Amino acid sequence: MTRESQPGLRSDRSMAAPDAGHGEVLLSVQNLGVRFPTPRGDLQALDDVSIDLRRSRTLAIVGESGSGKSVLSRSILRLLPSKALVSPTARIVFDGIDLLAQSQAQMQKVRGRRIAMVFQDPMTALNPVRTIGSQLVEGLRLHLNMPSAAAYQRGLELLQQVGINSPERRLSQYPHELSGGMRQRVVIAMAIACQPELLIADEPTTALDVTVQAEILELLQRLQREHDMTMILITHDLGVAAGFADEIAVMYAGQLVERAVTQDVFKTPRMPYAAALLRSIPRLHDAPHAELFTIGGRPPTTYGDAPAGCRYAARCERRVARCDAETPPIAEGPPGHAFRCWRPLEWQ
Amino acid sequence: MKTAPVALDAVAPGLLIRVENLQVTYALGGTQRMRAVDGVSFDIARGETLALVGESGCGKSSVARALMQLAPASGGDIHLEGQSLARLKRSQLKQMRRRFQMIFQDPISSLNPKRRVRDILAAPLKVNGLYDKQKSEPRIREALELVGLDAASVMDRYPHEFSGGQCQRISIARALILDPALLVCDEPVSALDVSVRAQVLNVLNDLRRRLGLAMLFISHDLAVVRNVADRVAVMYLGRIVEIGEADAVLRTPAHPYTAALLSAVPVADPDAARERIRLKGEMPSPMSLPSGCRFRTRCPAAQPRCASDDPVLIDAGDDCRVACHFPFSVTSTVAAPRTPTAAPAFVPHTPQETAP
Repeated sequence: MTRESQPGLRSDRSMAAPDAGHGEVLLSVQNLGVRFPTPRGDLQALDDVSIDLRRSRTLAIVGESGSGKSVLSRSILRLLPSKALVSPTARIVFDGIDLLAQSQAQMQKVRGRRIAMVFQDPMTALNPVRTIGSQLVEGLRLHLNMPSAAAYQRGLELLQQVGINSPERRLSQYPHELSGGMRQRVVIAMAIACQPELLIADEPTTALDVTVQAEILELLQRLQREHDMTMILITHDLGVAAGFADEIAVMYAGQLVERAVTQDVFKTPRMPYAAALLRSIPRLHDAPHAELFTIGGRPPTTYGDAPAGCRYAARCERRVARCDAETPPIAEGPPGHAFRCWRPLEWQ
Repeated sequence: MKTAPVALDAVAPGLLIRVENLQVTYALGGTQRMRAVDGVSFDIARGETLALVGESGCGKSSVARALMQLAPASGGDIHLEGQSLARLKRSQLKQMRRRFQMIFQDPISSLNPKRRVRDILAAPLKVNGLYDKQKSEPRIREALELVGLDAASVMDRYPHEFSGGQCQRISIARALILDPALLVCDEPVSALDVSVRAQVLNVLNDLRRRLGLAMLFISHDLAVVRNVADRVAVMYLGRIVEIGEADAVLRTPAHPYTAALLSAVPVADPDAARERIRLKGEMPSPMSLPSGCRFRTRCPAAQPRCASDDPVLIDAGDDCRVACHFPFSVTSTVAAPRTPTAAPAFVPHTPQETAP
C-alpha cells in the first residue's frame, strides 16, 4: 500500500520535503499536537508539527532539551505514555497506514518490523539478565516466525554486519560483559534484524565516547546505504547532524521552526533561533578563550493553549511587534527551505 | 604549618600546583587492584587552565578526585603553593582543602533541593567556621554577581526554580565563596544544552580573566577544551600521553591517540573534510595492560618496538611533551582551519630522549 502524495495537505502548513520529486513519501506527520496532563494544566509538548520524509533519506531532528524531538519520535512509534493527549486532527501516515488509527496489536506488527528504533542508552535498551543471543533472535522469531536454528544463524550474520568480532562468543554473553560501543552495536543489530524501512535513532551516540561515536555513526550510515533504509536521527549535537543527515529539522519549544537540506540549514539559516544555535557552539578552530555567542533567557513552557505570537520572540534579536501578536506559520521561503518566522534572516 | 614549604616559585614563578607521579589504585575485592591513574605529573600555574581530556576509563576523573582528596592517592604527591599535601596532618589538610573547589557535571543533583540559594552558598562558610551573618551576606551576593546572576532575585529561591545553566552558575558561585586558588571542573558543561553551555563557558572564561583563577578542566569535548584551556593533557589508560600548549596539541597533535581523538570530533559544518583516523579494536582493560606502550594495540602506527619499550614523556618541540616512540613530527602536520579532521601524515621522526 503506497501513496504518491498525501491528499488534503495544505501547503502552508506542511513542510514539503526538500528535493521534492526524489522518491515517494514514506512517512508523513500532519498537524501533530501532543499534550501531557499535569496538575498545572496540560503541558504542550508538541504543537502543529507537520513533516514529510521521503524514502532513503536521512532526516536529523535537532533541538535542545524539551523542544519535543523525542516526543515526536515516540509519537511515530506510538510509544507515548497512555496519559498523553494527541490532537484530534493529527495524522501520522507511514506507507499509507495511518499509525494513529492502529490498535496496539496492529502496531506490534509495524513496530520493530517496519519501523525500528535505537535508543540513547544501550544498557537500558538491553535486558541485563538475558544473553545477547536470546534478545537478538527474539525479534526474528516473533516477527518473521523463523525457526530457532535459522534465527541463530541470522543472529550471527547480524552481529557480523554491525562489526562485532567472534559473534559466536558474543551470542552467549550478557550485556554487562560488553563495552558501551559494543552494546550499541548489538542494539543496532536488533533494530535492523527485520530489515525495517524506517529506522529512528534517538540520540544513539550521546552516551558514548567520541571515537566510539564516530564508529557508530559510520556503522549507521553504512547500514542505511546497504539496506536502503529511511532514517530519522534525533540529536542535540549539530556536529553529528552536519556529518550525517540529508535534511535537518530544527525544533523549538514543541514546534518545528526550520526545515531544509543540511547544507541550507548550516550555511543559510533563516530562522534566527537556528542561526543563534549555530553561533553558540564552540569550535575547534576558534581563538582560545573567545567569548561565545549566547541566547539569553530560556524556551517557554506552555500549559494549555499557547498565547499568540512566536515562541522564540522573547529571546529574538530580530523581534518586531508582529512577532508578539501573531503566531508565524511554517512557510517555504526559497523552494525546499521552510521556516517559521515573520522576519527571517535574508541571504543573497 | 610545620612542613617546610619547597620554594617552587624560585624554580618556576607563578607555579600554583604541582602533581608528581600521582597514582590512584582501587581495590576490586580479593587481591585485585585496579590502577586507574599510573604516574601522572603536571603543573598548573596561577591563572592557568589545564584541560584533562580522554575517553571513559582513562583516569581523568580519578585525577580530579585525588586532587580534591576525595579518592586516596596511593602514590606520588601534590604540592599546593609549595606545600606537600602528603605530609600534612588531617587538620592542616582541611585548611588546605578549602583552596580547591570543585564543580560537577550534573548541576541539579549537586545542589541540595531543600535549601535556598542563600543557604547553599553559606554552607561552605559554615563548614569551615567562617560564617558570620553580617559579613557573609555581601560575600554571597558578590559570588552570585560574579557568575552573572542577579543576587537580589535569586537568593531566596530553590534550585528547582532554575534551569540547568543557572544551577551550574550557582554551583560555580558556591565554589567561589571560599576564594579558592584552584577550581576543578569535572565535565561542567556536558549535561547542558548548546545555548546554555555557551553561557557557562563565558562565565568560566570571565572568572579566569577577572579573578586570575586557575582551573583543572576535565572534558571529553575537544571544542569546549579549545575554548577554555591554556594547556591540554591527553590521558589514555591512566597515563598522560601528550601534554602541552592547547594550540600546539590541538592543531598539531604529536601522539597518534590525540590525532585520532581530534579526527573523531563531529564538526558542525557539512562541508568539513571528514577523514577519520581509525583506531583498532577497543580500549584494553586496565586490569590487563598491553606490554610496552599502552596504546599500541589500537595504534595505526605501531611498530615492533612499541610492544617492548614503554614510552616516557619526551620533548616533542613546541613546548609539548609526548609519550610515543614514533610521534608525528610537528612540521608534517599542517592543519588548515577548514580541514580540522584531516589525518596528519605518518612521518616518524627520531625523538630526542630526555630524562622523564
